[in-house]
Amino acid sequence: MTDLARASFEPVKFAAPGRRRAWLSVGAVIVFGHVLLAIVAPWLPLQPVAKQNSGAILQGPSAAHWLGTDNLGRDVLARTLFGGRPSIGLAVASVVLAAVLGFAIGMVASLAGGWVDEVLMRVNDVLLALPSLLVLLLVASFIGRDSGVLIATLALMYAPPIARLVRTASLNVLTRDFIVAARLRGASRRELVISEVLPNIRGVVLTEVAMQFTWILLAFSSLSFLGLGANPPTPEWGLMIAEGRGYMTIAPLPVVAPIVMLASLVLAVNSTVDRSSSDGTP
Amino acid sequence: MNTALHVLRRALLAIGVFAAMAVLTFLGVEALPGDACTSLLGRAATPEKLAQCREENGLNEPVLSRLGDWAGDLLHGDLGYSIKRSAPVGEIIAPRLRNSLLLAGVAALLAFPTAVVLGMYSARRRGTKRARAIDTTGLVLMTLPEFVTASVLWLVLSIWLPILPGVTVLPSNATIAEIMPSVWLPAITLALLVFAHVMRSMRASVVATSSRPFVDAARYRGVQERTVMRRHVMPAALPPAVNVMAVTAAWLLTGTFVVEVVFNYPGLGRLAVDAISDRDTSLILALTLFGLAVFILSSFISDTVTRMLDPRVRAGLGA
Amino acid sequence: MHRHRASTLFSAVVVAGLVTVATACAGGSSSASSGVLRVANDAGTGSASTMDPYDGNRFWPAINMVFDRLIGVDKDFTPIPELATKWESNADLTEWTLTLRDGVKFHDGSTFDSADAVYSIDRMIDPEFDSPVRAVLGIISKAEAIDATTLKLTLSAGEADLPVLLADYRALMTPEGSKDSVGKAPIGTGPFTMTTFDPEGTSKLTANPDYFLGAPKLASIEIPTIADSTSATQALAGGQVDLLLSTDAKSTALFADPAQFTVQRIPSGDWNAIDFRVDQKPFDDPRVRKALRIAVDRQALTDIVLGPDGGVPTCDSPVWSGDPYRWVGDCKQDIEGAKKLLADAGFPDGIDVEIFTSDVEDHMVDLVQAYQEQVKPAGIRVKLTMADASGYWDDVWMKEPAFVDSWGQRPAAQVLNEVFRSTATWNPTGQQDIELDAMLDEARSTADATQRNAKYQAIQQHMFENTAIFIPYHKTLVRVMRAKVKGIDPIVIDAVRWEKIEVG
Repeated sequence: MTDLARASFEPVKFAAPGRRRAWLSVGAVIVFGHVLLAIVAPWLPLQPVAKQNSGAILQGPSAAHWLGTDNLGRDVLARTLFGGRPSIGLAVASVVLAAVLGFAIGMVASLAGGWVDEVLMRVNDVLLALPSLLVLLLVASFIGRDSGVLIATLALMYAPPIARLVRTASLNVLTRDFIVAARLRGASRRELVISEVLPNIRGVVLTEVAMQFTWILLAFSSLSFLGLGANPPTPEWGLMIAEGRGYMTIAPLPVVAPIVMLASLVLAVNSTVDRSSSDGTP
Repeated sequence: MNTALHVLRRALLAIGVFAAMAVLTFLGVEALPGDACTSLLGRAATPEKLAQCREENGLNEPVLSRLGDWAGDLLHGDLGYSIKRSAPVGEIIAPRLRNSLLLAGVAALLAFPTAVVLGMYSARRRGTKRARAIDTTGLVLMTLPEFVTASVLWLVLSIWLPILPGVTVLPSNATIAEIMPSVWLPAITLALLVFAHVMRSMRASVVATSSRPFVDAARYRGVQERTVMRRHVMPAALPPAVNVMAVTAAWLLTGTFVVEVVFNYPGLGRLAVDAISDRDTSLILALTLFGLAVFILSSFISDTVTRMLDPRVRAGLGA
Repeated sequence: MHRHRASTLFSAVVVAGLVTVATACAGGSSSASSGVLRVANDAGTGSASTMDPYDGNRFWPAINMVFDRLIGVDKDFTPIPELATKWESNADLTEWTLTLRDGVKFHDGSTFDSADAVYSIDRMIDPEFDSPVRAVLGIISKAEAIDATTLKLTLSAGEADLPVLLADYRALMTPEGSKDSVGKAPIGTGPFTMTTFDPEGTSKLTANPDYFLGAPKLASIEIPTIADSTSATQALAGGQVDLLLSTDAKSTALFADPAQFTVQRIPSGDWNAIDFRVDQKPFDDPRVRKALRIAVDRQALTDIVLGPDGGVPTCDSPVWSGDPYRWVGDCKQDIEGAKKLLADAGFPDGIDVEIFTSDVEDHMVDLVQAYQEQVKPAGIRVKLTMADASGYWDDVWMKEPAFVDSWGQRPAAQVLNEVFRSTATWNPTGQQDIELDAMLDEARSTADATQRNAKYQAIQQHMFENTAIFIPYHKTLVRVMRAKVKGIDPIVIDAVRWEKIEVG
């Protein structure tokens, strides 16, 4: 899944003009809500996320537990509301690192040109060819599931598409007439990057970064699902799904609640990106 | 540049990338803690038994000499020997590769034609309710992690209306006829996922092409819409979609860990997960290389096919 | 709203369309033929599995179908004849003479005699091979064939319970000279013959019509491997297998319909533990160890980890509820007591403990999660560290300062000597308790059953005071089968008679 997304292309333009505002508001509001929730969760009047109740295992909704309890008798509502914090944090950290790395590589390649460009892009191709989930599985299994390690790996796996994008976009800009003119005037390359190239490619890169954010969320949840992601008893959506999956037909909520949260966040980011990227098209 | 030359250049490049990756992968797997002997002995590992096992299996040789041996064997088509499974890696992989091909093939057959047709439909009827419904479905299907889709399909098709076997309880070398009923659930799960990706890229590509000047020009000339689609839009819109399909097909062959684990399907994905938790290094190495080869090959093929399909390239206009 | 309804509808249409195509081609699922029993295997030992019953990687679901022991156990765990019909010992319990059954044939037609028994026991106790069975029968110093049907065993110390130890489910009889072939092509005397051994796929066995306890009622048994436990329950729910030898007590609601499924709850001697290395601070202090053990509400912990009725709490004794030597102590949660012990040991502000675990087996992670919550009020702050499953027994177990442990059912004499004796290879905490060793020696060589029992009780009470192994429960085994499977008594696997099972 994540490889699919990583290797496929620019976000797809989407939604008819008249409906754009609706998508913007709904999508953006959901994303905002998720981020807000992740920040304020500790101050909400919820049951402690780790508290277990030996008399209430896999129970349905009740006054005490609005979304029922999981296989260790813990409150599903509290765990679900807290469950975005690790994945969102990890995804943001990895994607920022990936963006910085990818941006640097892409800019250097496009500005330097020649053999530097060739070497950087070939290395880039090689990294792109690595099956990301397999690499993640290997790293998490052999080196450990420490979040620093995972973030570094994810950043390395997700920097190449950004590098490629930045290089193409910046080459596009650099060959335009006004840039050529500026260079003839004697403007330094660094000035050019800051004054001309950056503003011109910001939109494309931001879109890519936002899409990657969702892929990393999904990749991390797949990793947790295969037992190599978040550490118990951390409430984390992917881990909650994995823990609850065996009891899905008995008590669906411990699985359904995190799925709804994960899917709504990914969907909201995707639709917002779709909308904003279609703004940029002529 | 002429097409044949270009293809040759790309082929050489692909081989170079593969060779570099092969060496890197070998060294990477070497650098990981734990080896085949610690995993083989498990709870019974004593220092003496470990030393003996490593001696017997040549794990005490220097890394570079083992790299040389391994690369030499690889060139002769020998993928190595799995200590843990006491069998040649090639023999272990062969039946699972067949199963993975079967699964990927069925999934692709279910997904690709539907995706191309619906993608075109949604592009041409942009703004209608139906087109939006198709787009939204695609977006939702892309968004759901595969274990979610898999669990829902299992619940509906194997428990509520028991028409398909829920998990595979067959050995990896079962005949195709035996294994076919078990292919459907994982294949449908994968099909739903890749369907969304291909459909969305098809749609985007058709939308982008439809607004190109040469298409408008054809419309102004009074060419029928149907003919515009067939003669002008499709040829230009297909290459990007073929690209996505190639990447998708590669993923279907090498990225299906979760689906195979959920359905206990005896393909390469489950084998890879087992091999990683077994620390079966020779098997991990072979599977990683296989994944790389498929991926590099698919991007090579898609590049070549794109060039051949692209009317501008064929006309010698360059692109 | 319209958009949403339309898209939902559309998704349904797409799914339904694909399904129709699929079912048209698939033609429905397979159904069972009457004489075949399909048993799911959990792939515990994976690709390294062998049919050598003395190997640590034995393929446990099948070894008791193919091989027999000298002595079996009845439903109440009293020894009964299997390949031996009679046994007696000398007065000080150091020499045992067994009479073997006459005329029993191996699957290849050769006759089972005392030479095969000597060969088998020699392999079990071979220090070079170091079989796990050696931990049980290591007290046998010599096995001799007196004549074709008479076997003499000489022990290094008196052991009143030798017949019980010989009934270990791995103490099976293999033909003379079979050590190189038994792993992949096993020949036994048992009710079934193995035709295909494929531990990562499906293994197949067919009935042995000449079985000495009567021909099996089943024509054949198939053992498909399903590594993922959720997939295994799904396979049973979907009718793809007939029998799960053990499953999670919490998922039994799936199998609530008695017309379709039979659920058996069998108290077993399987236990989990948290082990604390006594050679590491602060676990070298018996007060800390005791505090770590008494701060827990064992009943609540058992219910949370194993589910309601999922297990039987124990006060750190490995001797299970069905064992005649079982000791029932009083180990209620004592938060204040734990705090006081910690304060006395120099930790008035509580203590930080890192416990290593892994999902190498069910319940091992949940145990630490539950423990973490239980001991919080006593000021014990637990950090749970996940270790990788594959390296767990090698890199973590017996090595880290605190880690989760898991043991299968063993008779009292065996488990106490195998895990708790100072000199035991697998004494996981490194605890050297000379007093305990002496008590163990004395108990095992006491001939009088009542006196022996009293001594074993005293041993367990002694252990509760200073052991470094926290044992909260024994698991209740949950075995689920399709209702059509008959003839499996609700007893542990060691005592299941495979030849009596039928599929209706």
